[in-house]
Amino acid sequence: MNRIIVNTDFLSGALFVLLGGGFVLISRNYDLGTAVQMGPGYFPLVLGCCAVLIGLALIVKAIFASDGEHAHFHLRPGFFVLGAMVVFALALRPLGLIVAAALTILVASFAGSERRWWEIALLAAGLSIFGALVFVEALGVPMPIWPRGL
Amino acid sequence: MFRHILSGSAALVAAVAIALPAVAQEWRPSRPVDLIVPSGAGGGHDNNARLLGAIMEKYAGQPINIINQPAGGGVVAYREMRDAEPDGHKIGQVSVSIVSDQFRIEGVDYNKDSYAYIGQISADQNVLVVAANGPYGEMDVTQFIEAAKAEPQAIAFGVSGNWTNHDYTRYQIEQATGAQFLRVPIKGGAQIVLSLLSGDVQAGALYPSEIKAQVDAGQLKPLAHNGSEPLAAWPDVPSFSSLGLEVNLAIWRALVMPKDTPEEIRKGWESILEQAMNDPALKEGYANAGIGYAYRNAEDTIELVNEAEAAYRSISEAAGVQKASQ
Amino acid sequence: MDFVSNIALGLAVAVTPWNILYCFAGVTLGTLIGILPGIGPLATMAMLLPATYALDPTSALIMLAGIYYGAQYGGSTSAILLRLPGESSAVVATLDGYAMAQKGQAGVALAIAAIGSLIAGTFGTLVLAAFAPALANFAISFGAAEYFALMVVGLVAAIVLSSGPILKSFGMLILGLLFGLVGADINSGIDRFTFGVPQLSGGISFVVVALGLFGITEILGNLERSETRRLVSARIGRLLPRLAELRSVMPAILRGSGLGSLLGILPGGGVTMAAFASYTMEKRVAAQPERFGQGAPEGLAGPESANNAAAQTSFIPLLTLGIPSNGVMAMMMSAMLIHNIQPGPQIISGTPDLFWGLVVSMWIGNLMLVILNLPMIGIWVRLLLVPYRFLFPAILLFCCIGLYSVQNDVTDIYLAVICAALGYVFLKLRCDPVPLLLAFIIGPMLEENLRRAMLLARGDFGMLLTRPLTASLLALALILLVMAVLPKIRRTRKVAFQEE
Repeated sequence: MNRIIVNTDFLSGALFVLLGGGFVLISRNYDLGTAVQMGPGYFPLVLGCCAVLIGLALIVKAIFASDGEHAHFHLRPGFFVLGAMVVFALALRPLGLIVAAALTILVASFAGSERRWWEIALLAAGLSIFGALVFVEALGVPMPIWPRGL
Repeated sequence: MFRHILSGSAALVAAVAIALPAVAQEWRPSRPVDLIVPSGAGGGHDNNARLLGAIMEKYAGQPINIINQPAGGGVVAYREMRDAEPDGHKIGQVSVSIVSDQFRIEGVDYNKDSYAYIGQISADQNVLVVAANGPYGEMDVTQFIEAAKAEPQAIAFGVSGNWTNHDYTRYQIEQATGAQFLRVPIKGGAQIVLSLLSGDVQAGALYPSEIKAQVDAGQLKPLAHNGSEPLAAWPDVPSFSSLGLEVNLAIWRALVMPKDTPEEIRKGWESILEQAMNDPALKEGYANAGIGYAYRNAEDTIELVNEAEAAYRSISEAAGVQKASQ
Repeated sequence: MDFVSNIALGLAVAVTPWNILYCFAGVTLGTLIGILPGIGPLATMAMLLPATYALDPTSALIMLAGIYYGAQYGGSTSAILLRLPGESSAVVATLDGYAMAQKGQAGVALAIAAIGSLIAGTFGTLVLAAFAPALANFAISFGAAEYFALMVVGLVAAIVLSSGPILKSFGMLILGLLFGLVGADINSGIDRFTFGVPQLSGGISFVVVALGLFGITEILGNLERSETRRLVSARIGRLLPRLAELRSVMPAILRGSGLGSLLGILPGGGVTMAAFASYTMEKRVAAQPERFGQGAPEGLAGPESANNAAAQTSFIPLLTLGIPSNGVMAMMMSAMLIHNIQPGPQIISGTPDLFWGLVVSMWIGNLMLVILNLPMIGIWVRLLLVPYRFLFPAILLFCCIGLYSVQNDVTDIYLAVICAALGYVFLKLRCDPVPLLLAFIIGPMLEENLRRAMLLARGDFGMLLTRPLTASLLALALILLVMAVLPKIRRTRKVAFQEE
């Protein structure tokens, strides 16, 4: 049993069932309509059911198949890379691009296997200035550069 | 780089403007201004803002940055305009949806009273058109309506979505004449024109700028429009009102700012807008781009807004518009 | 005779020092924004639009058009090197183009893309010059039913493109269609699956899904490998293809150019379909289709050519019918209107110098792109030698800025975080994200056109089949599907038997 859980087919099947089921559940709030005048719920309901069926088929296949690949998840890169993006999103409006970019680089650097502090400092400084010059000044992306109220 | 050339030239113009004797010590922005537009880049709203923004820079003495915020069909932009710092450095361009949204979208928490007004900047009309080589291409508006009444649901009418301006006009035509169309939602005016040409739909109510090329080429035929003045492009096309039909929802755009902006700042912007709207370069730009020129000062604009809200309220209630969830 | 004199007129307009300069500025700026993730040509053109008020209209249009196809070009560069598709048309380049770069053939891949684009651009320009008015009728022969059938072909193409097991590909396809449904439903106006977030009511934007599922997921996958293994995969190798290699991809380039020119004319999503269709075609006609996805040069050359040819012919609906088929074309239309030029049926007779000047300038722009970019290939490829601990934070930051710029809002960054997490899970579960992304692009158009077709046919599905174009497209889709599914099933069976 232990092996089936990490089997990729089993997990993908479970994921399809989960996501498809979610769409089916929510789409029950929408009007189904008829085949002529399809309502907003028609397409998602049909597609969601398809996803669930495919997911179930994958699960069945995983249970009966003798082989199967195993998935290994590394959480560290994901945590810091995605965390860096969240930090950027949170910091941009109040603190401006320069600070937000530097914070993003700092957090992202924890995702890699090696770090040298002076490298990170240089990279953060260089990229935040480059970002401000290229994106905001040259290409005109409307975003604040400096912290609010400065 | 381009931006610097741009702002550089704006600064030059501003310097010239400042050198001229100032009439009165009016408020002017002290740093670059954000003009929020509730739509994406390209298209009527955005064009209007970029044309106007470029001209207003002359009189404001500061660069004006156009910020496109298409999210949520404008809902996000309208909230941002309302909640902006009331210091005159973030203003917004709104359309008539600022008063109609509350009747058609669930959870809309802004209405005409959420803003202070700078002035009206443009007006537009919906023109009823049919394909010239289609089954109704030979008819005038009366014959067309008779045909529509004779066979309900036979004429497919392209609208750009639920209770958009195009759709309100369709509803008004049906109410005023008793005709019944097959309502076909199609994303955007350009796609409706395409569907008219391909014969998928037989009629539509579109902005003059959306159909100018095809009408001039004889592919589409304008039958009637919902404005109060004759159309600039086709003065011979009758208005629905002249036919005694109540198809007359006003479509306009205006500039607004947060409600609690100091009166001095608001007045400053009102005068910037007035000067810009009287600039011949603006009038020429509007004419070329097919934007209907219309200007009202803040006081008259409030009147326009009040009328529009009342009109959209009564028609939405009569039509039983169901609010879309947000 | 007419054709020659028209081209001569175009040359006279386009080959003035100023217009060449504007063309150069356009393609250079376009390449830059194409390479940067998320920053599309639309925002850049919008920002430059007021600056063009003062220009001669022909110069303005030459520059804006240059931004458009320059961006397409730059988009492929980052898709090949970093698996960052900035535009829907560059998605296909992440398949075999990226695989080639991983095998140390980044330079060859970029050069093939460049040369293919030039040939296709030339072809597209010729089509535009010779047949533009005639092709206008083709553009309006497609109604909702035909577009629906075309989108079905596109979905089958998504299955063919996928390299994974058939059941998972179907599952990912369905998920992509479902993700595409998020947002306001055009028919009823209600918001679906938005959880009350107004930023979602316009739908999840392509950039969010593409950067999340591809670019950022790729970073996560790379970070797991050790630095030494990454360096092996980033060998530089030859920069330019051998003549024999070029000769072997030439048929693919020509097929792609033809297919792309045709599809590009369709205003309702033709440009998007061009690269997918070409990839499907190449995989069908290939002697060893199993090489596709592993770095087959034809799998890059065909779609890249199709893409570029379609970009050229996508001007046809605007120039001959006055219908802007996408945001970029709407921007071109604004630029014309500002100068009191009405794009439409009369533009060729009314302002021949503008029309032919623009057409010829597109060809010159394509030539410039190749001249500009062939020497740059060495520099781009060296990008892969930058230690990854420097490269990935830079990519990440540029992605964040690009995501923000789409709607000038941070919501898209959060959505991309969710997509990237999902993309990482898919990577681990060996679920190919390509069918998902393609279905995500096609899904909304599929639903909209099916619902409209049913409405117009008053619910009679059989009526759709009486339209010859619709019926033949649906038949094509069926044949492609059977051809794609059968070998895969057979293969699975064989494996199953061997196990027993």
